[in-house]
Parts: sequence; C-alpha cells; structure tokens
Amino acid sequence: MKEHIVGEEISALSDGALSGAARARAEAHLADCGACRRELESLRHLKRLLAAAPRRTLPADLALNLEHRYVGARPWTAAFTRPAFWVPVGAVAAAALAFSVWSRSLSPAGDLPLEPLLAAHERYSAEALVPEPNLVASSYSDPLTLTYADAADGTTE
Amino acid sequence: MLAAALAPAPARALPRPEELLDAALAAPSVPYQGHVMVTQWYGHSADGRVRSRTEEMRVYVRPPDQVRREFLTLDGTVARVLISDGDRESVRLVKSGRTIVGDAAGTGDKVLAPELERATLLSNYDLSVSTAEAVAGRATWRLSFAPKAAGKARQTLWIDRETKIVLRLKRWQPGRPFASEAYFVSISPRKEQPEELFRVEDSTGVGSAVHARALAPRFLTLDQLRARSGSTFPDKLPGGFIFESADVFSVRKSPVRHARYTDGLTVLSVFQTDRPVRLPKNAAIPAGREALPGPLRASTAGKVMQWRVGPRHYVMMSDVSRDLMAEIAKSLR
Repeated sequence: MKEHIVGEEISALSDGALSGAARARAEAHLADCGACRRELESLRHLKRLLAAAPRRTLPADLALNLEHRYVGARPWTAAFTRPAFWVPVGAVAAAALAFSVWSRSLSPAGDLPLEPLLAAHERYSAEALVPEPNLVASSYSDPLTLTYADAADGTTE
Repeated sequence: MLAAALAPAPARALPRPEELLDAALAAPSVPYQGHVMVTQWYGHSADGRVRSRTEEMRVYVRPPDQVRREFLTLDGTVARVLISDGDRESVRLVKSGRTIVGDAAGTGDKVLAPELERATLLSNYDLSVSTAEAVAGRATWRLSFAPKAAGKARQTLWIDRETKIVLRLKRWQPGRPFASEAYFVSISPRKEQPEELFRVEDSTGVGSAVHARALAPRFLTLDQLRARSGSTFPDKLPGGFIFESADVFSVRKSPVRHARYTDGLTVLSVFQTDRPVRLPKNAAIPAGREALPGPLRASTAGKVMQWRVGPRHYVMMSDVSRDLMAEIAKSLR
C-alpha cells in the first residue's frame, strides 16, 4: 500500500485545497485505505465542531486596555511591536481566550441550554392523543431541537 | 314537481363529533402522498412584529404506519428526511450527513391509558362538527375543540370526508399572537407508495452518528420518578391537566426531570433541574393579571417560564396563556 496521507496534505484535502495530481493521488489512496478515510472524516468532524463553537467578541474595555498597553508602547519596547513577535503571541492568546470561553460554556457550574428541554417537549408532543403529525414532526426534527439527541446522554439518576 | 324542485335539499347528516374524532385518530386506510405547509406564530419581536416560522414538506404515507417526510429548503431542495417504518424512525440532516435513529413515535407504552386520555379530552373540551370549505380540492368536515377553561388554545381539524385524513389543522389563542397551522396544498390519495421510501436509514454512512438516547422518550410513573430522583410532582394541575408520564435524562452531566401533563389535547411540560436553564434574552413576555414567579419567554413550543424553589429550578412550557401558566406555577411552589 502507498504511504498514508498525513500532515499538511490531509489538512489541505479536507479543505478542498489539494488540486491536480496530488488530489487524484490522495483520492486513489483513500479508495482502499480505511485508516486514512477515518482520519479525514475525523479531521472534518473536528472542523465542523470548531465552526459551530460559540464565538465571543473581546469586551470593548479589555480591547482598549490592551491597545493602550501594547500599541502605545515606549521606544525601548519597539522590538515587541513587530508583527513577527505579536502574530504568534496574538494567535496563542486568541486560542487561549477561545478555549477559556469554550471550556466555561461546558463547565458544570454554567447554566443549562434550553434547546434540549424544548426538544424533549416537542418530541413528547408526538405522543399526544391528538397529534398533528406533520406539525409536530416539523418541530422535533428541526436541527436545533435535535440537540436533545446530542446533549441528553440518557443516564438516569 | 315544481314544488319539489323548489323545496330545500335535506341537510346532509353531520357525523357525531366523537365518531369523527375516532376516525381521524385511526391509522390511515389508504396510501397517499402530498405537499404540506406548516406555519407557527409565536409572540412578538422587540419591534412589535409577530414572530413566525414556516416550513414546507413532502409527505408519503403507506398504511398502517409507514411515513416519510421530506422537509424542503426555500429553493426546493431537501434539507432533512424523517422516516418511520412504524417501529423505528430516523432523521437525516442532509447538509451535515448526520442521521439520528430511535423508536418511532407512538410505539412506547404511555402511563395514561388511551381511553382515560380520551375521557380527559372530552371532559376538558366541547367538540362540534360543521361543514367546511374544501382543502386541497377535497370535501371536508370541520371538527372543533373549544376549551372549557380559560387560557387554553382552540383547535380545529379539517377532515377529509371520504378518507378521514386530517387535511388541515389550526391551533390558536383568540386575540393572542400564538398559533400553529398545517395544511395540505395538494394530496393524492390511493397512490401506491414503494416500500423502499420507508426504509429507516441506519447510521453506517460516513459522517453520521447514532446517540444512545436517540429520539425516543421513556414513560415513567410518578412513583418511578420519585424512586429515581426523589422529586415529587402533583398528579393534577390547574386548567384540567393531569399527569401522563415522566422521564429523567442528563444535559451536560446534570439531571433533568421531565414531568408531562395533558388535558387530552394540549401537552404541558414541567422540567426540574439542579442548575438554572439559560432562557433566550429576547422574546420576553410581560406579566399579565397574575404575578409571574420568574421570566417568561415566547418559543415555538408556546410559552416558556422559569422559576426557582430552594435549590431546584423549574422550567414550564406549554401553549397556554400567561395567567394560566402563573396559576400552574403557583400550584407547584
């Protein structure tokens, strides 16, 4: 079997960024390599999750504070204002902030989302004595309400 | 002869309401396919406009209990497919490639016996039958449900005189911006439907997933709920609602106890949680005659209200008036 698709190549493939011969080679390999198909699907799944993750805007006062501290820096700190320094630092800081917001939203101390409860109510409505199946089915199969299937893990107390 | 011709035609005998109700609730007797529009109106937005949601679907039915519904996007492509073979059902989200599979609606053993639920309906609503306009070109009977208690929705079914298929449904609260409607734009009864349309989709395809809980609720009694969670709920609520069943599930590892009540027509859910539930910031509904124990919001499921008693948080949702919700919440505190 040919070499597996790894690293930048599989990332580019998942983004649809591979072209020409490289893409044809990758697709031929995928046709008979289950491990690479799983890896590709796992990568795409991760990207979908990240795309769907909540995004928050940096609070205005914090942004201003950071700007005052770092943009208006003294001359001896000029070296630190070069993009070559701040781009990677900024990227790490942004990633840390995003992770912090995301992990806070998953924190056991946080509020529960309403959607799984709405979905449970809508799904139960399909069991009513006089349901309007088309009306109810429209509600409980809605992608938003399917969070019931995602969020509720089914464990009982 | 002239006198006979001028005499009024004898009125066609109307079916009895209960007889028509039972016929409409029975499994379909003929295969059919059709095109359905669903619209929900649910409260006012901040700028005073009525909020609404509309969806279009293609429906295929094969007696006694096979159904396929294809929900369409605005440009007519299929956004998701719900298939039931009578035992299992699947929901496939076309764009994401995900499929969720679970037990079909109506296959679980409810706590409340069907005859008791029917008797509850008849004790809470006045039923009447009248002639009505055609729906999708077919002659109908109109079956109306008028609530005996204040603050509950009215409902009307337009039932095909020949096949007894419900061709149109409307629920509304008079004078309120809450209503739901579903109606057939077109329908072809007695059109044979191929078996393969109703094959429940499994989850072996790339990108799909099945979840342990899937779609089906469980039906616990009050005693089972108490034994599992230590939570107590009443067996009756104001407005003619009686306990039907309960379920316990987890959201983000936190238990959610779900008590379901019915008046025979309208479903009312009471959720009890250990952590507060995040309600949407918009869609707030101001208090009415009755003081509210907590925030009230509009949603596609009707109204949603949250309040707290000691360490426990409650969320109630139903298609009833805010005053009735306040009264019910008071009885639970």
